[in-house]
Amino acid sequence: MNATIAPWLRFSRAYFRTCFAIMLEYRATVYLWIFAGVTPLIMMFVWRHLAAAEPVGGHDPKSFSFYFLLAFFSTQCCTVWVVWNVDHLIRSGTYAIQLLRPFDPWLAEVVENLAAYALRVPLNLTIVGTGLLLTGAWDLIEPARLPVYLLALVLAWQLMFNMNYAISLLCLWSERVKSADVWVYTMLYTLGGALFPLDLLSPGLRAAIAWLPFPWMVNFPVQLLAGDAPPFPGLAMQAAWLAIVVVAHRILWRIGRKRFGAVGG
Amino acid sequence: MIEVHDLVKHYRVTKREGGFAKSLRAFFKRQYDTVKAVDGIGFSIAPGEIVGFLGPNGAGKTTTLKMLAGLLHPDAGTLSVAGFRPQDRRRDFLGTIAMVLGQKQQLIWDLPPADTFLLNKAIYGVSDADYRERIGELTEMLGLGTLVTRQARKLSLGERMKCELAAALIHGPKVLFLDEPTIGLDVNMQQVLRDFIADYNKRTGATILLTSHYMADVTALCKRVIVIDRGKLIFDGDFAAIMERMALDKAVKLNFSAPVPQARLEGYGKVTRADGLEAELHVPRGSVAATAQRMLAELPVADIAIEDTPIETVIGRFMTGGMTANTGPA
Repeated sequence: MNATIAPWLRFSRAYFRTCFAIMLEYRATVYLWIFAGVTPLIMMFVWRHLAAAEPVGGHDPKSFSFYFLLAFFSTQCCTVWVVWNVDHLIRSGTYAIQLLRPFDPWLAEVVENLAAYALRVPLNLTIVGTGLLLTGAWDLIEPARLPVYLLALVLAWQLMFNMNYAISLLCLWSERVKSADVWVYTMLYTLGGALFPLDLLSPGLRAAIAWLPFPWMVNFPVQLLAGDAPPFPGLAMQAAWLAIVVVAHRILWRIGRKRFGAVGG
Repeated sequence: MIEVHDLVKHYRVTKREGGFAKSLRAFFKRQYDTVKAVDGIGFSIAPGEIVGFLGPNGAGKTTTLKMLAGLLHPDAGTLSVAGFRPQDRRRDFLGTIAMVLGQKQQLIWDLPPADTFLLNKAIYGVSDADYRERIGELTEMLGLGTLVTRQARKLSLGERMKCELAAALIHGPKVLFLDEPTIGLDVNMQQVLRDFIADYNKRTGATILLTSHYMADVTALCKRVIVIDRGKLIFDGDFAAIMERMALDKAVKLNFSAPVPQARLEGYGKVTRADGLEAELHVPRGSVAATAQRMLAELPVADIAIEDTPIETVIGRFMTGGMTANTGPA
């Protein structure tokens, strides 16, 4: 195995096991976080009711069920707490412990996020699967699109994670960036399509927000799975935004580390 | 092993006086101060040395240690630790050093220390055979026993610090930075850790730079001390030389079974506190045993404790007492 990659994999495996053990200690909190993100499911009931008499914007109740159940799954995949984590580590002075390890702290955050998913995803899938069966929306899935849908979900997660990581590194300047986290999630829910399908917006507004990263994290994967959107340019937009945020956090890391004040004596 | 030349680290910190109006003004116009945490210090430490790094609070000790460990970037000057520039954070460098911060912990709070040890084994790529050998040694030297299988949050402060040290040493570092390793521990536990640090240095030849507020730590471990104050180096040399010159007395703390007036105590030494049933005196080191015997015979003593002069007091005297930088006693 490549001598550069091997230590990363060794650390990732060990840290994953450690983080998973910690998540198990706090499993109740992890599951509460899932239920704190049920806004798309509530919106499903609202829009189903509105479309009960006649379709709204071409969506009937079954179509809304499909959209919001999958939107719920997208937002769950995009739920990362890296800003809170890094903010806490820097303000409490324990970021120093991360910096003493011969790995970029980014890797530890990615692995911790994955460990949380290992606990959350089975419950998420159970909720979404049950919802699709109960509402009869199961048959709206285009099975041939599943592989590309999974790719879009991974890109959506990575885009959200790295965007948040870039924001978290602003702590090296301001030492408090938790409020930026709230802003990002507000954008994800509104402009991403977790409160309403984006095709209900006017074409002009849709075209404008298509330049932002948010629609590609929630709305796009759902439409992809339903066969309502082609893989391109969506995947290309996800990849482009991912490249932008990764470059941004590499630059912030390089400059910010020199400014790091190692809070706490 | 460690070379430091003209090291500088300044911080810009916001300043604001209390009160609503000042808060409002600061919102629109921030004011800043520059704190010269480290201001042009230099020293070198040979392989295998244990050096005490002393100074009052805010002197710049921890900032210097953090620069040596690669956590902070210096503003100016040069640093070399084991042949590496610490701020480059090269993998080989980070595998050569360890840092224990007495007030920060690397143990994973919710899991037993054994899990932190295994994580560090993976982080530093320690082989199974080396891991078994080191854990065996550390368990024996620190008396870890069953501590490693209990949740870290359920351990006492002293037990946690033992495990912190073990976790930091899994990869066999050649350079060890210890920032207040005995802070908050009871006297027995302080002694256990001191013995361990001395033994570890003897067994492995590791270079150790230690900060502490406890005179006993420095006395037991360090032949050489570096003293800094307000970011400037004011002494680098033999610890015995400072003690000879500045720790001229010991503190004698007394509890009485019946009130004793201050006037009656003044013949024994310099009275720093006296309130009838309790008193504290400073007595010349050379005559402390004889004076204590006299007190026990002549006064209604219920309890007596003889303590070293606090390190801050020695350094305080030292800074006003005519020692010169880098050269030891004037």
